[in-house]
Amino acid sequence: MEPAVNTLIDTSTGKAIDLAMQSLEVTGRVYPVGSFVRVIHRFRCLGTRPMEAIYVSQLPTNGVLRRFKVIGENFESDSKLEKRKKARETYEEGVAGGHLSVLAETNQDGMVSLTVGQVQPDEEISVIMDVVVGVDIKDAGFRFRYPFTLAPNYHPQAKATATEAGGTIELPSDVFGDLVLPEWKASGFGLHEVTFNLLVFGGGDLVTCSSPSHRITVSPQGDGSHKVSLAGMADTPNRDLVIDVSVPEAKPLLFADATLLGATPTGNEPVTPADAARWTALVPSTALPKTTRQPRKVCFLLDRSGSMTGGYNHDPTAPILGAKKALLACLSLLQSDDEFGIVHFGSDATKFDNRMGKADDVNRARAAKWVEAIQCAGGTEMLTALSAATQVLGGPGGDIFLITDGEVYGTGAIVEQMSASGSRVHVLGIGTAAQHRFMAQLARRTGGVADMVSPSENVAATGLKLFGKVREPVLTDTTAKVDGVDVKNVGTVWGGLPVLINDPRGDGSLPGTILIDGNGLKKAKAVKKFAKVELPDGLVSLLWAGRRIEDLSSKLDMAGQGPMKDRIEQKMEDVSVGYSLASRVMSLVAVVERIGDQAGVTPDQTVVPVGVPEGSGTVFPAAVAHASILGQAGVGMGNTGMLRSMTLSSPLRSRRDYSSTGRKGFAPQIRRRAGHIIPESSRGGQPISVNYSMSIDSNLGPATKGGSFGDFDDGVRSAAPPTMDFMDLERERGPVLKDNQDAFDGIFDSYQKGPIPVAAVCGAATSSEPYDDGTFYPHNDLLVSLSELLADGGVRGNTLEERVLHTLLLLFLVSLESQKQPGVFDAHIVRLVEFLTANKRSVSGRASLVHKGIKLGVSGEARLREQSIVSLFRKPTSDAWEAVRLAV
Amino acid sequence: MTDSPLHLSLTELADKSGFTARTIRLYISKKLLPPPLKAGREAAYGQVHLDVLHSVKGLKDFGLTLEQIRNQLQEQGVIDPTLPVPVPWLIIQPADDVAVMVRSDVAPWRRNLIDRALVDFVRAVTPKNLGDEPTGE
Repeated sequence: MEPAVNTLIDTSTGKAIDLAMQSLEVTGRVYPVGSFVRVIHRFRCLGTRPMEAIYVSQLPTNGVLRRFKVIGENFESDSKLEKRKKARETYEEGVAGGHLSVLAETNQDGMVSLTVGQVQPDEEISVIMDVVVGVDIKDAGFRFRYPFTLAPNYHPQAKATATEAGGTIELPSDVFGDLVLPEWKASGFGLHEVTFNLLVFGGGDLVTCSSPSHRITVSPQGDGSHKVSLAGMADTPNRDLVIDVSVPEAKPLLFADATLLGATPTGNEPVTPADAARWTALVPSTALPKTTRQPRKVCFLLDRSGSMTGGYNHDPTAPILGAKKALLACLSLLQSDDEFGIVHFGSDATKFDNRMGKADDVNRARAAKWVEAIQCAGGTEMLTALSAATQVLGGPGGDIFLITDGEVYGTGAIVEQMSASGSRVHVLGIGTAAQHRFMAQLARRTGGVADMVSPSENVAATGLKLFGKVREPVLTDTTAKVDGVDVKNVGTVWGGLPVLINDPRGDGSLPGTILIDGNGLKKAKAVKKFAKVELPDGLVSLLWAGRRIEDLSSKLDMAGQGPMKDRIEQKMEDVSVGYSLASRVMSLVAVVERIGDQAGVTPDQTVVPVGVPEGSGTVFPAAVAHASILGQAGVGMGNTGMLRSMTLSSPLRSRRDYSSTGRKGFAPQIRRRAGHIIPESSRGGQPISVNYSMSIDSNLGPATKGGSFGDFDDGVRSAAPPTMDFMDLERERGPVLKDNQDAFDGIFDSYQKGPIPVAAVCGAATSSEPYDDGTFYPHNDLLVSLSELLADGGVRGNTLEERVLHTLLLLFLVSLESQKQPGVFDAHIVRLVEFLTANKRSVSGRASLVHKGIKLGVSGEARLREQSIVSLFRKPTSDAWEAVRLAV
Repeated sequence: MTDSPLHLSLTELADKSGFTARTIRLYISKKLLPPPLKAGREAAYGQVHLDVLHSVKGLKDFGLTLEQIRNQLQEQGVIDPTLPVPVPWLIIQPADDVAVMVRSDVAPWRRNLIDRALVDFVRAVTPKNLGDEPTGE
């Protein structure tokens, strides 16, 4: 039985204001090299006048529009590809004639505007858009990403306004033409729903699908594919869809058009040029011998613009915090013959030093202090910053490691200038609607590598993994030949990322032998055996064309006016027409004449709003904070919510009492939600009692209900009832705490006033404090401990024996954690092992014990639990050695 | 406003003003332009619309947002003041003594949820059901 709709209240017009776009559904087929995606947009006019709806979206990585179909109650019509100006005229003539008109235009920075004009009252229209989409390919799997919203990017001439619902950005029309951006909404009101149903082909058996962005259901279809769908009815368009697909084993694969592998043509194959590539070969990096390590020159580039503070000023998962931690952890991976520089940027760029410096202990300690003091402010002048980094590098051939949310317009100019600079740019992108397309292109065009992570994931660990690749590439100056024919632009082979070789001949023949050679290889590696994977015809060539259009688009941004612009536009038109793809010079348009269409009626225009990206929003701080406090869906849920206070009383014996492993009980929640404020532990064996009140996110169910602390082994008790107080720190003053009183006050003050320095967040992790007895003690955040490694790969200590012992204990801790986060700490384990191997004989009578310890530590088989290992740091060395002997 | 002998279609207004037709429709939807001289089929625009678009261009170049431009034009009396954007509510009234209000611009998936919850409620309070079944939990 339907509830009766009786009366509509509207204080001015009496009209219903309903959603112009009701829903967006992403379907399609996803393969390890790319995807054919179909996006269904549903529009409905519920007003009393005809509607014109504009939906602005972001193209995914290597994304390009193929065609669309518009479907109404009694009709359907296919799009035509026309030159941009002509397509716009066709559209306007259709609107002037009262006909249903649909126009899809591609703009700068990969933005697409879909305009649907003259939707009549009560009419429902679907626009089904076919898009070719790239994926991020890895040795054993891939990541598929589709944007559901736009990032509110920075442009020096843009005007950003916070509104009650969210915010708006107006772009300069001399640069962006008449492109109008949607309103960003911080709550679910007025937003269309999004769903997805994708068929994922892993290229092998035993495929695993997961998603860090959405809850999904996965069902095997019996033909090797898996149907991946949104779990639940629908979701909010406030973050990208990310699907991770992995296979158990990395092996050489040959992806080819189905008809090339013997399938019968269906007659529906896309029309592509006769010499288009029809296969792509994948050779995993693990199949190649690794070359010896060379010293690196790396300039770190840290985005500290206002958008890096995340949802609001006191967000403990603010991108800048993870970014700083990532940077400090990466510094610890440098060896003494490496050189490094650092630049941070917002509206301007600031250098740590004007030139690169050796990665010795003095420089690294100085750099750590400098990084910790960085505060967020300003716009995102990325090109200025990249130029500054290039100056610090002092010439071509070095690496820039950029950590950013990428929220910037004008990306074409950045890509082009950096690809001409001779520096490789590697990008760690942080965000949920990060400018993935831009960052992946920037890395690809400069010969670098990129990865994206959402702020609520482990940013530092992802950064560390990425930097591990940069620090020790598998193969440099790589070349490849397919049956004797040279392949262009193979570039560097990075760990975990395969070599991809497109058909260089375009004659429709499959490869026999692929020879891969590179710097330092004694002999080129021949790969002859490939597992064959069938792709829909045309996907390989359309993916190539999409990348080509993407690159021509950024060249167009640099071309200005004149003959260069004309040449680039002509090339773009040639690719568009040759492969039947839309671009900035060719648009898709359709006009449908319906019975009853009336000429000369101007439709009411509405621009479809989108969600403020999760974890973002400092462009619109007031609105986001407001929505957060109300706990509304779509904005930083899990990060914010109502703040309640609890009183906790706990005799803390050590920082490790708040275990960072296992994620059990209450403690990790406290640490995460309350800004990582952890009182210092005891010194000299004296326990400290600390009483403090903390504000806790109401999402912590067991805590707010006042029960379930049984698994928190330090007897934390909750107080009732919850109140709305913010952080309030009370403590008993002991000898250690007195020394740190100022530090704690400082933390609290800075928390009230602005961003928290990393040192405060991580509990003052630098080597200069608080243990001035020279002994190393592990922080409960392992990355912080690892950032304290000295240049020789070991921890500090008063004697070499103490250093060897504590480095061995740290190896045990790291390898335990490595089992939970595989791959993150590999490079650090190598450094620890190098130090121990070099110094084991220096410790009298312990060489074979250290040797055994290394083996079992690396394999994770040392029989010591984490808390036991931590306690050994404080024991006399002879007792600690005895415990190690028993464990190995 | 001054009378104008000009009668322009939207396309002609776009050609003369330098703005695209799509942009002019945006300005109309944001109440930045006065209503057409003649509405409905064959809507016509005149000199006043050209003048306003000229002002809009100048104020945009000066750095104002569209919202600020609208306020400025309203203050100058060039365009009529606009009322605040209303929040639209639906009233579902299953009985004379019961009404439920639901925001009509809520997301469709949320609306489905609300509608499903309302079905049982409406069934329970609709007058013909009273006396047929026990009331309360």
